Amino acid sequence: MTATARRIAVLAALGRNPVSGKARPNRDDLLALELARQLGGDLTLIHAGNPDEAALGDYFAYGASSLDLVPLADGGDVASALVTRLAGYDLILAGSRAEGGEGSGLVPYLVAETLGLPIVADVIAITLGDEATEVTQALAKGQRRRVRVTLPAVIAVYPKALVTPRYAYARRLAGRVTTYVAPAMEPVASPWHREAAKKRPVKFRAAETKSGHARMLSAIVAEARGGAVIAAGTPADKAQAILAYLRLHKLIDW
Amino acid sequence: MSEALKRINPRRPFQVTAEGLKRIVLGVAGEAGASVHVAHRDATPKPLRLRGEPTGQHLVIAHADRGALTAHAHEAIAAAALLADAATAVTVLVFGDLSEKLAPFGADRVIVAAVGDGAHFDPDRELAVAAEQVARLAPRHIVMPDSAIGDGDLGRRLAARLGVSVATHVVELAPTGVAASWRGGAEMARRDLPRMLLLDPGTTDLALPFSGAGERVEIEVPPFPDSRYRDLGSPPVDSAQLGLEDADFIVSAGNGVADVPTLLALAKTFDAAIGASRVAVDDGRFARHQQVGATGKTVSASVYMAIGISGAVQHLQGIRAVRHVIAINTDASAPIAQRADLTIVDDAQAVMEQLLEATRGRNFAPGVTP
Amino acid sequence: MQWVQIAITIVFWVAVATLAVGLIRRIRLWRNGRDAPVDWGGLLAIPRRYLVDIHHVVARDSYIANTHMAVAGGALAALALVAINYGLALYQPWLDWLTLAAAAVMLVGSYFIWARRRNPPARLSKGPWSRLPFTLAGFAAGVIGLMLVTLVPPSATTTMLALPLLLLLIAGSAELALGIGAGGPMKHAVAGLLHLGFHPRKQRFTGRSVDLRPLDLDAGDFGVGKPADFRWNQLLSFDACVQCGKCEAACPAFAAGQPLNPKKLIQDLVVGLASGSDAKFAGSPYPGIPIGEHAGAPDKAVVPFLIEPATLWSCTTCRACVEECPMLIEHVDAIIDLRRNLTLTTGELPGTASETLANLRETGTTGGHDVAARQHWAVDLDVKQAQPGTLVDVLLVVGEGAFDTRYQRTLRALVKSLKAAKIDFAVLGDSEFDTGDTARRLGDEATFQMLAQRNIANFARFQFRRIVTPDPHVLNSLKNDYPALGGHFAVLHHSTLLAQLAKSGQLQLGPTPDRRAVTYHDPCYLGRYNGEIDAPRDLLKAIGIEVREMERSGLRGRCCGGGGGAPLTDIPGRQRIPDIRIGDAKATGAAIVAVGCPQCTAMLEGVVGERPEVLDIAELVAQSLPVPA
Repeated sequence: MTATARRIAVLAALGRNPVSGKARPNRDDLLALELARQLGGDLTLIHAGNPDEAALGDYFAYGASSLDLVPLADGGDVASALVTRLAGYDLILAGSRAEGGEGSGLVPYLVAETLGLPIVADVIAITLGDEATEVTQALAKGQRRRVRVTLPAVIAVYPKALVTPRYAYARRLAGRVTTYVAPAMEPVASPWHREAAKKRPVKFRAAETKSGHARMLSAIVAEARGGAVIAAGTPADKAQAILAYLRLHKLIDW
Repeated sequence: MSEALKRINPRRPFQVTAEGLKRIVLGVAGEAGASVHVAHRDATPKPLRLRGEPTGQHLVIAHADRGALTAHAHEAIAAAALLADAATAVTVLVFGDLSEKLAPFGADRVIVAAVGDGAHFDPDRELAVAAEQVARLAPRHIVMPDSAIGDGDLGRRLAARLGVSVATHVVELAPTGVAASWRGGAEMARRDLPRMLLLDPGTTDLALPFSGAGERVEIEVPPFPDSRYRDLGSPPVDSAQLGLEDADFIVSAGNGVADVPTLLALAKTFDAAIGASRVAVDDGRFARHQQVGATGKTVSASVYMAIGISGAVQHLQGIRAVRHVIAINTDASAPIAQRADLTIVDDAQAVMEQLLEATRGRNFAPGVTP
Repeated sequence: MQWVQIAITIVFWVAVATLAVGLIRRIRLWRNGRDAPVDWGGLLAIPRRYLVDIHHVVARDSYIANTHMAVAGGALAALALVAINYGLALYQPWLDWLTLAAAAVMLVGSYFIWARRRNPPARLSKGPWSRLPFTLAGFAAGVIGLMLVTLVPPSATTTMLALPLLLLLIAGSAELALGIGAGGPMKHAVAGLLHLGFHPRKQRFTGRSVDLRPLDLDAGDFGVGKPADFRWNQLLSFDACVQCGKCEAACPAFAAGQPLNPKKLIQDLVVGLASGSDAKFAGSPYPGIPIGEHAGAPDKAVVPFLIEPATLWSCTTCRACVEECPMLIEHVDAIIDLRRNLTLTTGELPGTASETLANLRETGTTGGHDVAARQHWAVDLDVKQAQPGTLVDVLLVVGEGAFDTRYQRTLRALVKSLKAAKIDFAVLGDSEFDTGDTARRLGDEATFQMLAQRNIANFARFQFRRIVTPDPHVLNSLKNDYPALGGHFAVLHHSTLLAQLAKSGQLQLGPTPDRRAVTYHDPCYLGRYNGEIDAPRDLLKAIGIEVREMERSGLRGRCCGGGGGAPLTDIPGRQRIPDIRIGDAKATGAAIVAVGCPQCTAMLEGVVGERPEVLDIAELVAQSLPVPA
């Protein structure tokens, strides 16, 4: 079997623009699609969700030629629905997180577990071999790691992978959707409830045993966060202030 | 009005105690406002959190890097300890060599799984160990740092394997429930406390009024047969050559930077990628692909150190997604100061040199261990 | 000299036949293009278009205007006389005298062509064009000589001279007759005249015509991917090019060293329509792209085989090339057609252009802003928001500049003046979306049409008499691009409205308190696109400012580099276009550059180093409002 004859599935979620809330292809999944396109092979996009969502068509503009659609009610189990269409693929690619809903990044892992496949996350490059694929993972601080994983496998793509999805309207018109029968599934009420984000999350800390003075102090410190200006002192002091800031926010670990 | 009221000078010398409180020190002469720092005293140990024999556990799982856990992992331990009642022990499962003590973060038992280098990618083996420990300990909650690679990855593998309720990217937690930010921060979603929690960094305050017991056990981990993964190693990466979009730490130069070698040295110290303002690029001091801003690269690093950059609108557009902006500029009224989280008003050259001085020998370039 | 006369008749008819065969071959190539309505009536208009519209452009350079008049006029007259006298075998001596006179005029003209080409400006093409003065002179000399030979009594000398003169005539006639078929320099004469008749934008002969043709996306029209995708009369128009390089000299991208030369682009398209490589091109290359490495054919993709994408993305769509072209070729239309195909079928745009288009699709703003934030600049100004069912005089469309802190100063200044003039105006607030100008210029017709339809539906909710906008790109979109999609609005630039108000006295303006010297930069989309070059100047005059004109101003103003999405595609060059423009401004000694466009403001303010202050006309006007007693 040659690399071009590989069957590749890309899991596609519906995303939302964080500013306007408008539905769009999930940014991370577009990176997976683009990586898959560069691999060549027989490519299928698979989505589980509302079949009437027009923004799904934008996946075609980004280069998918066909979309397998598994209808699923809101709150349905996405991973289980996807698995119904995932038999027989050599490679299953997904973005690292969905931006529309929970965005837990769990779906590729659940799919891998259900299908008994290995999974590698934070992948930025893929080289397909005969029985295994070599992938490059992005680690913290821009480091890289190469991993060989047996096929078939699930690959979750690094959110900053250096590929550029391209939107071409003409392709949007050419794409075709195959809608499958909705799997028999009891919709489960989500344990989550959503609210508009308030300013900042509250830090989890030990029950207050501090003095009033300490409480006042920490309140002041909390309010002064952001936009601190240090004008006085020697350059050496200021250098220390920068290092203190970096340490305080865990940006350096020394 | 001959007799002035006697006042206490509020700026007289003070100490900062181990609890972080200011204490005025009577009888000590000194410059007004100068502070005398008192080192943290380990003399008075904090009380143990755990009372008597535990009836259950919370399990924290994390990878050690170079003998220590990250602050992010420390938070996960502290969060587990804060969630726990007096009869619940906090057990920490650590992959890799561990030389630091975890008791101050609330760990009661530390299981060190000797898998060799914690950075080595062997997820089947780690997952087997983690699943075995979960089966053995039957923890009430499993808490892990949701770090970009390693812990977040193992946590999801474990959640999928165990099929338990889980919340990832948790930004806020309490004994009553957790919250995660959805839709790029536009929404906050809440739920009750799931069995498994993967925490984003910054959720938990590490200042604890108690300590853990900190017992340590080491377990041998047999190699996993027929692993489907093989770690082929990490090619060395020079962060200075890293794409700005990909960089987590960027040192960026503007008009106020005349001494490019010092800037490059500073970037190397922080293992940072190098950016530049349009002016610095137009001058030819930096390459075009290093330009940050509306007409250059849009970056999303954790740290953006803007040195000698006044911060034109176009430049600020390029760093909109940056978490922490640190500005070094002679002009406190420059637009960058409004965007920056920390602004140092001084000559860029002097501060750069002092930063280099203060960090000498501490760089984390690939392969260098301090 | 009976045999000489017969020989001339034969040469004439052979030349006519050659020309006819060549023309038919060329027409076949043009017909590879897409269908376009054939306006036969246009042929009747050729003389007027030639003498009025072309002359209007050519007359800017009186040397070449006079020279061309002499050569072309002389040649046409001589040819017409030869056609009558020899074509019809009349052999009238008095016609010979006239022919001789016409050829003499042509010969004099040829001399001046030669004189110019002795030390030619860089913009002129060399190669075959360099031989033209000689072949034309040869033709003229041949005609003169032969006329003399027929007019004087035959002698041994005349017999001896007749043969070489005939050869001279044949050589000259070959240049004229073979031009069209073989693609020689004289191709321009035939193609140029036909181009005048079948011009793709015949509206430009009766007024300004800058609207872009909407694509029928549902029918699969995605612009031009290969030369045969151009309409046939566009292909014809490329053949009209005389390679004079006026476009090259006017092109801001070329001047900045970006890989674009409008002349080379048109010649590449000629190469594409006739099949071949660009190796024979004898003019300035695209800066940074060597000649001889690209080739094309009617059915071969233009990009990247014939033209590199960076060439297309360098264009600021400023239309300076179109304004300068003596053959009335529409370079920008060709570039947009090619961009459309790239964007719609591959989506491969350089720089931040793709991101901008995604922003437009998802947020309706180029910067990905929250539309609810568009009115934040006016939060303390008590500006009315348009309400359905309530008529206002002026609907103020503020544009994308409203999100920019710098440009908000302009908007606030404008509001101050509108209030001073007691204008009944309202803004759209969070229902204002980008007009889609940037999307359209980047070739994303789909996003443009989506935004345009959304905006047209939105405008329909409100009652207003006219739209006023400080953004010439908004102005151009609404005024010229929207009508084809069913949106018809009365749209004014803020400078036009303010000038009207100042003239009528409704807006009382004192002299400007700022006594510094001022120059005015014409935004391309206001000046060249919409012809508004007077109102801003009138307005500045009304506040006592005498504009120090830059080297290029008015309809021939130089671009700031901000149009057509060029700042987004950001193709590297030797220098930046706004730097060149600020150089122009500095040369006037002005301390202030007055502008009337958010793009120009941003581009010119982005120039680093010592430079004049950039102020919008609205800001200068607001400074001159009398202080309320």
